[in-house]
Amino acid sequence: MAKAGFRNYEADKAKLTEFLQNYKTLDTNNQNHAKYAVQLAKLAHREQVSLHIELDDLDHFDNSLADAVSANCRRYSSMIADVVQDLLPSYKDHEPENKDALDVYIQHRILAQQRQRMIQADENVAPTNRYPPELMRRFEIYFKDLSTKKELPIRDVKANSIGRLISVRGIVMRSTEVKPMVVVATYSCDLCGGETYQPVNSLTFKPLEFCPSAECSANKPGSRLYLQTRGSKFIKFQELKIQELSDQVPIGNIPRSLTVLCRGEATRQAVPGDHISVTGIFLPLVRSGFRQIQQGLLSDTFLEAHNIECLNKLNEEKLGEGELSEEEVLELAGDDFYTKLAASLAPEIYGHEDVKKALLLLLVGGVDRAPDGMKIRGSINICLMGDPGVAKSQLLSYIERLARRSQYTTGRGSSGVGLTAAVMKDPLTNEMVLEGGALVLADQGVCCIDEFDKMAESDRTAIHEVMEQQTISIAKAGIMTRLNARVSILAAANPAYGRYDPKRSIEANIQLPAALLSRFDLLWLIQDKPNRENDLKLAQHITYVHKHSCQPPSEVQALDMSLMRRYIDLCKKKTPTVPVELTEFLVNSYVDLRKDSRNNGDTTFTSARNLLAILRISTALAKLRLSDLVEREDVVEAMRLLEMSKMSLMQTDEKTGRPQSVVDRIFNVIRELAGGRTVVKMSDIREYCTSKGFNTSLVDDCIEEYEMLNVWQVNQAKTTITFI
Amino acid sequence: MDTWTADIWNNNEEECKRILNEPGNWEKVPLLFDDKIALGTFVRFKGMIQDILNAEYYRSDFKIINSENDEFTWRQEKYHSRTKNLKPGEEVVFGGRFLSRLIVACIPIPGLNEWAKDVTNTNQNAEAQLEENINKRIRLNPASQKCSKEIFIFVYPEDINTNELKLNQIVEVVGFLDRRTIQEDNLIAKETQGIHAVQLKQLKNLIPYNEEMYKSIWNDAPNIHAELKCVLTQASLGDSLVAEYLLYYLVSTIYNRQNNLVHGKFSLNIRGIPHGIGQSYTKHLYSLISFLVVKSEYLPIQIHTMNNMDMIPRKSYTSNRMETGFLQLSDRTHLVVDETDLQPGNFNSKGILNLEALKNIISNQQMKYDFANFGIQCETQIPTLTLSIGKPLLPCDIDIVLKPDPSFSDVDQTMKSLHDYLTSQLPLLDKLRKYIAIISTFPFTCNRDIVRMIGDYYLEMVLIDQNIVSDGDLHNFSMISKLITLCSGKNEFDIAVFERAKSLENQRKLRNQ
Repeated sequence: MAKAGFRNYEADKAKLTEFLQNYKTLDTNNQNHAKYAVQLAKLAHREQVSLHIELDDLDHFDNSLADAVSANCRRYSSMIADVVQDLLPSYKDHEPENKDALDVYIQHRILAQQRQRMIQADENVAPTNRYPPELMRRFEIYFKDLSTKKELPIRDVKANSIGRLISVRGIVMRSTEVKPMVVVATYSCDLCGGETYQPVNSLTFKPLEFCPSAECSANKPGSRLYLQTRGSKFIKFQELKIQELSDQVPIGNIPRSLTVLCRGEATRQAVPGDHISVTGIFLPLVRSGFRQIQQGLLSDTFLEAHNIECLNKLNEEKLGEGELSEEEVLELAGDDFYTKLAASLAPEIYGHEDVKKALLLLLVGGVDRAPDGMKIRGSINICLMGDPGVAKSQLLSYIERLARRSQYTTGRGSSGVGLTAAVMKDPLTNEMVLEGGALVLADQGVCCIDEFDKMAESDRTAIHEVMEQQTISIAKAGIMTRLNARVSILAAANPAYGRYDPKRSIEANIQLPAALLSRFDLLWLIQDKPNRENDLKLAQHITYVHKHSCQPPSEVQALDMSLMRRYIDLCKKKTPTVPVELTEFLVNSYVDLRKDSRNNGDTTFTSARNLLAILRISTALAKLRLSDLVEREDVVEAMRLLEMSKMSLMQTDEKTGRPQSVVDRIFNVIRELAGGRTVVKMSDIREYCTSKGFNTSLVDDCIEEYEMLNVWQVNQAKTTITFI
Repeated sequence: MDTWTADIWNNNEEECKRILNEPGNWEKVPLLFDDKIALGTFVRFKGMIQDILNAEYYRSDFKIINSENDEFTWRQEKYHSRTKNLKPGEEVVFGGRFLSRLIVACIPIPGLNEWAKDVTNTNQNAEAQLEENINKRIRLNPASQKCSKEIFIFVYPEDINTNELKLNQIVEVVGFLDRRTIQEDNLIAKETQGIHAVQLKQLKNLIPYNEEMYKSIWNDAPNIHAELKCVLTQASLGDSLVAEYLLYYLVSTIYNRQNNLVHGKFSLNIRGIPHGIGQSYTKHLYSLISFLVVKSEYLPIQIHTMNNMDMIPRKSYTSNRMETGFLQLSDRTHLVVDETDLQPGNFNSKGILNLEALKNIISNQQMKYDFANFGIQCETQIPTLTLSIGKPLLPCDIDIVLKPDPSFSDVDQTMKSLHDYLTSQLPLLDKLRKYIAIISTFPFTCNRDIVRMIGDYYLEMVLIDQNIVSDGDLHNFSMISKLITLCSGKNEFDIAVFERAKSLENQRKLRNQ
């Protein structure tokens, strides 16, 4: 503050007057536009209440002035108010309609003032008897910070910010109701009848007791003052308490909080739970009376709000950590960026590349479409299954940390609110309020549900709706509503029998209804498969970590979480479309898929939902490439992922036996044909097997192999086989 | 130093700092024990950071004007929070710049064992302490957990780097004593003691660093290892395998974190605590552990305690403070969870949350502090030992079955004689304690061949049965090898260690089948 030296406030005032009257910007039509003059006219006619002065404009006009304003904001704020007050009459070209009692009062006061001036020209009237400027104003002045200025984390707001215009970001923890706050208290004297005014600048004030007019104070007749509510000026007032966002808090620290006082038009901008960005003046709180004595040398501080933006209502862009820089784009670029991105997901978990790719696509998501009132979701749902201890929960918690909006919960729904929503009684107001559960809180984000199979029945029914319609309907305690839950669901489930049994259907394994399972775009069974090369790599990796207490340097450098987040943000902005040429290819792929599944006696199901899944996944792939068009390769990759996910489900459990070879399958077919009989004709076998699509030579191999195992005997003429 | 006041410090800062930092002088500053010390005294305090409050603003200077003779004096406000001793007719006028100071709430170190409280007084009647320890630690009544003594430390950012202060850190400060009410919303707070810190030290290890001591422990490591194993074998009722694992549990430290993977954590479960002797044995075992480690806590899991205990630290928005929970513990506080007394019953939602928090600590060494609308993940380092009769309720890294030797049938007698032995051998006891505190922090290497050998061994195991072996086993194996190496006073992982680790793990697995 001191650095600016002593400024010539008179000169500044003149400059500000010029700025307000003459500053011009180009509007959308490239026309010169006297931005503030137009607003002044509106203020004069009471068509507008608040005047937002953008520091960007002021900076453009005179940058030293803008610096001065930002450093000593309170003073310039009242200076501008004075300037505006002086300017307003010249902008008035017609009398505005009087809107309320205060307008009438102001008008009368102006008349009274003029009359008084005519009677006695001298200015010796007692100061409290003159109208304080605040009383005559119906406008409010607000500043908008420089757009180049970064928002401070709350913990960086320090003593040197006092008196400055600052911007901070935080989550609203508490807000009071909006209450009227007195700005100027007006009293009337019961003896002399004169009016007395008392401007109030702090949160508390001591009412005046004695009439200060010359007549009363000279005679000391014991006159009393009465507060005139109608003649006083009140302003809307609200106190907010904001707290740092969890991503701004360094590890091992506690979020700090800040009190924000909102007046006038800045009130009612946010409710508890909102992410907001506030621009305001950081000021010490003036206390009077007993509190001041008690407080001693200390001072509380607050932020006087000038501009509040609710970030959850805005696009995600503002929430982000900014754009990607050149080098970062270079770091990302390259042919294998898809693999690289996927490998950077949970780098501490070895392998599972395809699962990670799928999770990456889940984060990016497809595109919501709403043709003819129908709603087709774009978000991708994935269910991870697998035996206990295969890092499912670790993947989930990594995604939870990576995604910008996410909720992690277990199917057991340990909190009272659960997954959907609950009606709660607000302890402060005693009102019934809807409190969103995990699915509602994760709107536009990812909801990770661990132990999906152990979900409560009520949540399970709700999740059906969430997974297709992306809404939650609630009818509780007289409240009927529908909440948005545009979430991607990432679920993890444990098999019902301890281990996944590939011989049973998925529904039986996970014990969830098919209707729910089919809503997942991808179902994945995670298994640890022995792979010598991978295992060796893993072993070396682990021993390295234990030896050096750090990561091996040679490994693929995992991308930074914040970089990933920003890249995903960038991807999310794209809305690629499927070109017409690709539709046929898509349809054919789908038809093939259906055919295959019918032939293989698939335990999974292939339905129209799969087609949508392919569409969504390929769109997500196109988004990941930052492209506006879905390409053939995207569809191929989407098909591959779908195929891989199905493959993972069909894998044979290595513990119970070796993988089924073709020969084994033929054997099963022959057994099936035999039914209860012990003797089966060779010709029947050949015919039956060919109808099932097996090669005759393979059938012969099978018969020979099982004869060697003494499962059956073949007669000399090779016309029949007999089971032993 | 005894007569130092804030004003003296303000006026002669350089000189005071020099005197304070002369060797030995720091320790001479009197420790803050009770309320009897006068305000403004120069004191020392050791505690754990429980909460970090918002910064507080004050003016750098103020002027005291005597209205009678219009004389005035300037005073600096640093290290003060009130204008004391104002004479009648004197008025205060504020001036100068606005400055800020951070308020840090500290509590006495949770779980700090009696013997470690004052290292110089170890010669007291150790047995009496042991009894006291046990009675104090078993906190069945959740109401009694609220810490009695909380002290606010005023930290001046120009003196101390406030960014380095983290939750649950152990700090030692010297500064000027004050009494203050900290402004809390809506509630009238009672006056609490505060210290205006002039210097602050972060204590990583409560046993002070001393190169000579480190060297002597390291050189004597094989002997101490043998002694400690012998003691623990007694404590494990003659089971030397369990004793070995117990030893590694006691000395383990976390040395690396990679997102959700924590290297070096060693959560052990001892199962098969014999029926009948269950509770008395587990208490005895805990009292022994508390006698050996610096900080420890004992948690018997019961339906009632789990449902009613405040384990998770929670932010209260009415008082704008963080309310502590049982699990808010500083690094390397050994937590012993006793499941042997668990009866059938229902957990309520609090019980489930508590259980989840315990699970999270055991498997990820993380805890989510409750901030109403969201949680904040905090990294913990709480080595956990669970004691159970059958399969444990809580997860663990390493599970081992206890096979007591039949000759150790009288548990009370065995444990008592063990205590008698330790208390009669004070130099040994002292060595054991230091060994446990520091041994795993020594440097460690292994050469390329060993790495390949471990890799091959792992592949071999995978081929035998890939469903039982996972990368978690490989982590455990590497960790055990590292601990075996360091515990025996060696830096390098060699074949002998590899064989030893293999045989230990094989024996353990054989038992668990």
